[in-house]
Amino acid sequence: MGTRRTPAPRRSRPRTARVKKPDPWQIQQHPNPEVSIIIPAMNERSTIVDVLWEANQVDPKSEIIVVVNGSTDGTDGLAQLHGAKLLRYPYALGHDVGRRVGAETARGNILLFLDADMRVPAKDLRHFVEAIRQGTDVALNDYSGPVHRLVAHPVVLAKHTLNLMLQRPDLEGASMTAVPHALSRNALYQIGMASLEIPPLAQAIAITRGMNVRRVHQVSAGKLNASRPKIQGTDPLSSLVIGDHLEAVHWLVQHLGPRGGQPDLGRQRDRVRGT
Amino acid sequence: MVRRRKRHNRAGIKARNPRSSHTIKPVKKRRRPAAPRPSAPARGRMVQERTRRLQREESLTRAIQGTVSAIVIACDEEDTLLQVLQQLSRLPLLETIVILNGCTDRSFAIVQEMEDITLLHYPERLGHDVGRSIGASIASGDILLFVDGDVPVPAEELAPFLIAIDQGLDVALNDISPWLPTFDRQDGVTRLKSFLNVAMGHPKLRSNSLTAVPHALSRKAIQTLGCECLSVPPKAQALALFHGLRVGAQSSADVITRNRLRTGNTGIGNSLAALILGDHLEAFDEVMTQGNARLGQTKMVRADLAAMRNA
Repeated sequence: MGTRRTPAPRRSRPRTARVKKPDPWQIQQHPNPEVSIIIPAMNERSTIVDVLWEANQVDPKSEIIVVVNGSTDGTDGLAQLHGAKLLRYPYALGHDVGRRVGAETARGNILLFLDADMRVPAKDLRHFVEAIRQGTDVALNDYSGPVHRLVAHPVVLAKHTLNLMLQRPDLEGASMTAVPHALSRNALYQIGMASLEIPPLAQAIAITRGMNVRRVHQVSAGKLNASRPKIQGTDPLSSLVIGDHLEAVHWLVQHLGPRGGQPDLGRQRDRVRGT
Repeated sequence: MVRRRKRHNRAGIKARNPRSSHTIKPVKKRRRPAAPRPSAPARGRMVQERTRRLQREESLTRAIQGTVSAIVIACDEEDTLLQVLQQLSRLPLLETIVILNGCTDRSFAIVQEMEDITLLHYPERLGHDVGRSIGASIASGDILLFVDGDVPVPAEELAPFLIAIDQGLDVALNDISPWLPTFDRQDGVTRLKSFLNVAMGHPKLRSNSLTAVPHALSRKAIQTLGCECLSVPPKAQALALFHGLRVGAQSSADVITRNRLRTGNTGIGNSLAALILGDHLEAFDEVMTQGNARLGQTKMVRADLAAMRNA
């Protein structure tokens, strides 16, 4: 045997220290938050970190609460890793219920609601927070949906019509159904936690009880709905949202009377009674 | 040797007349600019218009099995009432019922001059749409046709409503969709009517509603709804859909343009809009009381729906 061309492998070669992964960035949770940012999430691991990043830039005196429900893809782990306040449920809570759950633990006087699947830049979100700070009670997304067509999507129609019934046609199609939007603590109190689960109902209550409800900033949120089997001529989610709007109408007629206080212009109804 | 002229000039275009002395420049064919292709909504409207025209032309020739009562509501419409009644006389009617209320002009005299009309005359105003209930309560036909005294509609455009009921529909609405603008420019009343239809599970009816005339009802519809609710047309609409009556909007009578020409109005006044809003709230109240708050829209538990959608 001659000399080896390559050095013999030395089993006792000291192992070099593995390069440490950098610590994951951490959300700055303020001990006495003025702003509570509430983010319901199910399976959003591809977007949740971006959403948290933007939320973290919105306000220095804020807390971020993520309500992970029925997740199977590790969304909860990611939220926890980056220091979000995590409320975790192993089962799905249902549309909009996560908002209520988050609101119940929120400590700020300004509540900002986001979706976990859409990254909205912090500079857009600040408009909603600032509006509440300046006295608005419900700061809505100024997005009415696609309206330049002969027949609007049933949900777009429902939102516009509810605002009409609430004597607020100026709100066009803006709705608490959509995010982002922000509430004052006062509005939360007036609306009540239970109604927060039914966004159109919450909106009807807020407006009827004299809250300051405004459109403040547009964040385009046109999401495509996958084709699904239909209920009553519409897809199930649309049907749910329309049903929610009908609950709002129901509340309205209970609260304001059968004609909502609108005139009858002197109809002689007793002439036709019993016909 | 005859020198043959070039058949082609420098541009390579075959010269028409090889004997001409000048260079023939290529002739730029000036094409007329193509008419812009109409948009999809406009094309749809054109097809609908053609279909309606064909329907109208053959409508009067078809025989109707059931008997027809025409109900005319009028108040201070002497200019148009005669024309309305003349058009109705071209239809195969069992009876024509005219409800006059609070007239201060010659309407009464005009109706008196015509023969074979059942006239109900009220010196005071009855209020919006009350005349419909009264007329319906005394009508005896199988098919009830409702028209207003202020917009004369040709008999050809009224006949399709009668045919639709005769062929099994319970409520034949006027399809005003061809005259509507896009959603963003639709008024509140149009949106309310659309929302009511969507809420009741009939989005295909779009914004067509018993608020508008002309429309026709079957005897079965009258028996199911009663006459009282006809005074609040959105309520009648909601109840018709609630009770599962067959409601369709298969024909279009242009009352929109005709009315616009007559009055110069392009919209509804504020007080009327408020009335119609109140009517729609009353309609919702009624069907929610008889049914439930969500009106058959999904009761699927929110959690299950979320799980289904986000799995």
